[in-house]
Amino acid sequence: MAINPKPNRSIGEVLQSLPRQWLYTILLIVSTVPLFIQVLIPNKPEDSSIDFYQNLMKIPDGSVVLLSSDWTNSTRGESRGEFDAIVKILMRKHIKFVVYSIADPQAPQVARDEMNYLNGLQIQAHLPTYQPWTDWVNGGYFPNGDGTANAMSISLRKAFGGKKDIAPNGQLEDIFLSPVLANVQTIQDVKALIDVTASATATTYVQKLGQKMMLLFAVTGVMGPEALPYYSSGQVSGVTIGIKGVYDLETMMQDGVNLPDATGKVAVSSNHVVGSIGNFPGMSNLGQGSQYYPALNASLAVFILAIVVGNIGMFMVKKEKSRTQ
Amino acid sequence: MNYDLLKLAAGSLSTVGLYTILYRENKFYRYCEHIYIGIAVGYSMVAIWTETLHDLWWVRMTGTSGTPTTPGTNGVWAWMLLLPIGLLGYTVFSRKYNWMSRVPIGMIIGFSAGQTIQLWFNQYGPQIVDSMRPVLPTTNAFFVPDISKLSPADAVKVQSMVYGSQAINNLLFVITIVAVLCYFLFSFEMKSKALRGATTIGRWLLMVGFGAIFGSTVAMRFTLVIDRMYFVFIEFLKQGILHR
Repeated sequence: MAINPKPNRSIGEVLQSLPRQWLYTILLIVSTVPLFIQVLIPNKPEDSSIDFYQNLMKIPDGSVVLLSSDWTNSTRGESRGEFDAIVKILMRKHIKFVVYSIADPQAPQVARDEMNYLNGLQIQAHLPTYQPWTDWVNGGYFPNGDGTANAMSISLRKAFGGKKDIAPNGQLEDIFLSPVLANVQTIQDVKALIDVTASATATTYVQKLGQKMMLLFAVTGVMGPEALPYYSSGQVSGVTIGIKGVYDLETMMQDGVNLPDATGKVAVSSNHVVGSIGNFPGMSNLGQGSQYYPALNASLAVFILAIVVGNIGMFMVKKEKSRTQ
Repeated sequence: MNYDLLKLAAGSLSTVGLYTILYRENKFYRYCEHIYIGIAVGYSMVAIWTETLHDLWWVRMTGTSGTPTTPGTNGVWAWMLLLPIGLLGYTVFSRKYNWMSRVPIGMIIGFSAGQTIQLWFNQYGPQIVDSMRPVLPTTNAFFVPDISKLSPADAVKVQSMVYGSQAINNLLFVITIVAVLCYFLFSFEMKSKALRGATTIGRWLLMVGFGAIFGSTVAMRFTLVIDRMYFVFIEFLKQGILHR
């Protein structure tokens, strides 16, 4: 653990071989301390996030959407915030949804737990809860993502046929008997497919359903570079990426886009949005994005510093070698 | 004992256990890792039955007796045929009978191959069309005007123009595509200086792209660490223990 155990080592060599345990300790401290300090970092949402929010807000109140929840606790750091922000918007616009997964058998239970958590927040805020079966229904897990998406494009009723969820009478009933899907016959009756994903399901949906309905993706930082070309080419109507994407959504839920406040000041402006997009004033819009974003910035600063220190060390060693030769 | 607190404590202990690998390989880490894998596999097996096979295969095969709100359904025996076909996949473990495992694999490959051409075009077709971008401006103005205060009709007019800044962006985009495609030309020897130059630019641009992807990946991994710290320090210690 000693930083300079050998007296004959040059500064350059020491800078290149800092003990990793020290670096990990510093990183853990830096990523933890900001969590205790509530700081709001100024934010300018990305265009892809603005389009995601804009298209979500354009969906008429009372419509039905599909929510493909393809994440589990392994990517909770990013996907949970995305799921929470999206479901909050759906709740506030009274949009009914079917939650299901084509990526992981654990995902439907994770989504159920998260819905319980979000309903708990509704109760705390003295707002009506989003009732299972009436306002949203769980379609469960589909093991063959490609086949399921293909079946959905041909017949949603056949693709989801036989899937059951718990009805208010406590019995397992066909999900098409629920108020959510009662009037849905084909995929065209569904206004959008929102995929909260940590895997390659985005590509599956682009291939199978991209021509038939509006797709909105909430992906992890790893999947972001893969999803952005779909947004750039117009195959996807909006993409929100990682914790920055979560913070973007929360910022827009708080301030809208091109929306002046009481003093006439516009907090979030975008020159490619015609008019303005509304917000949700007086509601608890901030969540995981605003909580984690300062810690992420601090961690990345440490990471960049470590790279700079390592490179300085490398140049010093190189210079020293060239001098001695 | 508060069940929720017990759950949080178990989660926090496992998190700490898994992070002890950062110090060095140890038995506590191995213990937590094996528990994690065991739970994940066990849970997935049960979930595949409850979330999928029960509704989509078993109920369709055996039928249902009906409820006051839903009429019963007859079972369809043909669903039974799927079981032996699926089980053939496990013959891969036998040297004598492993040829049988090719039957389900062949069916899956056959279904996929039939769709591939259409799917490939659905995925890449719009991207190929999008890569044909105008590199010459259609107006003298350099920057795209702010359309937030324009009427929808005027906004459409603005969006149909190519401004100077957009033309530069488009040119960079086209140069990148051409240079990267040149880098992947392996069919003949690169004798032309121009082609070699384009290949070098393509390699550099690929490196820039990989750097951006790596940066995004690193940011994600940090977020996962932050989330674990939030779980241990805020959800377990602060909200679970201190604010009970």
